[in-house]
Amino acid sequence: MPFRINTPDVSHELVDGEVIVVHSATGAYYSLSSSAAVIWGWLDRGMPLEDMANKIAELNGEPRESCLAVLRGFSTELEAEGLITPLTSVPDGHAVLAGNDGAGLIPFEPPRFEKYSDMEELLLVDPIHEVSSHGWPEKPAALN
Amino acid sequence: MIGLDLSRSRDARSISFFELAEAAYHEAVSRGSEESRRYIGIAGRTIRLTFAGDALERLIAPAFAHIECDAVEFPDLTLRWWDDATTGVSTPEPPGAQPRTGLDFVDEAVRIAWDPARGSLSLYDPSRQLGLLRFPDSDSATFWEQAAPAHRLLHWWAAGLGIQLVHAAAVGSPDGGVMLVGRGGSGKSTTALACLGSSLGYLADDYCMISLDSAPRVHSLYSTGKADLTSLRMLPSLNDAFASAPERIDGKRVLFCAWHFQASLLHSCPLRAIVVPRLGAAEPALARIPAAHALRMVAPSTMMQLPGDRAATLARLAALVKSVPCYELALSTDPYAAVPLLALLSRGEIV
Repeated sequence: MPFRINTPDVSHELVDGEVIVVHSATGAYYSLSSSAAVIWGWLDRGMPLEDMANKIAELNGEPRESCLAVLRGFSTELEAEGLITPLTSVPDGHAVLAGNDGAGLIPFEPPRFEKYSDMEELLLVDPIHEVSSHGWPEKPAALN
Repeated sequence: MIGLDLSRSRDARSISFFELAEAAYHEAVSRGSEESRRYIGIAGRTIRLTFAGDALERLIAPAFAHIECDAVEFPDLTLRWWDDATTGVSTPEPPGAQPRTGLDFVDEAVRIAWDPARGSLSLYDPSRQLGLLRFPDSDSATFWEQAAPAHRLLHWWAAGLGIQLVHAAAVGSPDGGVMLVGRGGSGKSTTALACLGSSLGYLADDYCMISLDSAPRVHSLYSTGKADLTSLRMLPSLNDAFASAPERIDGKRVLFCAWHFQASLLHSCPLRAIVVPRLGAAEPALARIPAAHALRMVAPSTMMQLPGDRAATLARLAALVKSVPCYELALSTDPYAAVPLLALLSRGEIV
């Protein structure tokens, strides 16, 4: 199953092997390192979990099904955080998994993320509501 | 009749709303509120500030006093300020919006930020490099508006130029400076204020601009500095200056540094390092940290305060933390003790 990153609410950048993910709607932000950073990159490219499991099994000699179970657990956690959404089909033009030399995947450590919630309080006190101009007012009489 | 046609597209409706607000500004001027013009320089660009009447000008202009410059015929951005009560106009408000806490943000062909609680309205049309800032009365220009006027509008404008407004303090010299990043209460403002009157120049305590053209440069926006009662007790050299500063109900004060420390104010300098303050040390000390750590400290607080262009904001901040060394600065209870370390970093004598 492929996923998509929940842009525009979710922004992410890779810096020195660590992915920083910011969820602007909730105020939470995340750090993903090692295998989690690699898998996040694959998720961003629309890779199905099954293909990821094949690659990790190939690199590590791990049973494919156990890799897939780990990936499903990780994607469920990311989905619960509102960071990704499952897709019903593989997106057009997605990249193939070739090219990863195994960095961050050998040995295969189950992917984890660190969640930081200190900004959520700021959003609770001073939230930003993204709205459209639909339904905004007619010109008041003073300006007619 | 010039009204909002709700059958039009979203972009057309937001443009129409902008035109109504702009008409209110011109009506304020035509009703006899004299238009005052000032010019400021930021990151090599010139911004024209116009005020209908002087009520808001008295509150807003001091924050920009240190970067005022000569008039130009074609500024890079124009910001128009007015308030309804003083000028006698009735600027349209979005009554369809809910009366709730926080900010309503419309991100269409023009950007609109509406604060229902304060009744303040900010609008930006990137196609005309024109911003509008309206308040119901001059009392509505709050402590924060005086300390950091139009910061969202300046963010929207700068983002179009690849320049990033950052939630950060900054100090340095013409040869180099450092940016202090972290969430509110991390010590960055107090540390920056401790540099006033020292060998280090002062650029910002809360918001600054960063350009990333060939090498990163930090640019001052506001000459203001904020301190609460705890910070004021740690900054005895500033007590006289803060004594006459506007005070918020919780005791926090905003200092207009151009009035007291003109010689300490620095407009711009190359950025040498990014510093993440950490409170609670016995003695100040510096330690290198990974760029990703610095990004976690600067990006979320910047992005949460500045709606619009968030993915590009994170990308620019990621490029920034990769471009200079990043440090954690352990702070003692004496903010002045950290100044020598910041001076060494600013001179590039610690790498």
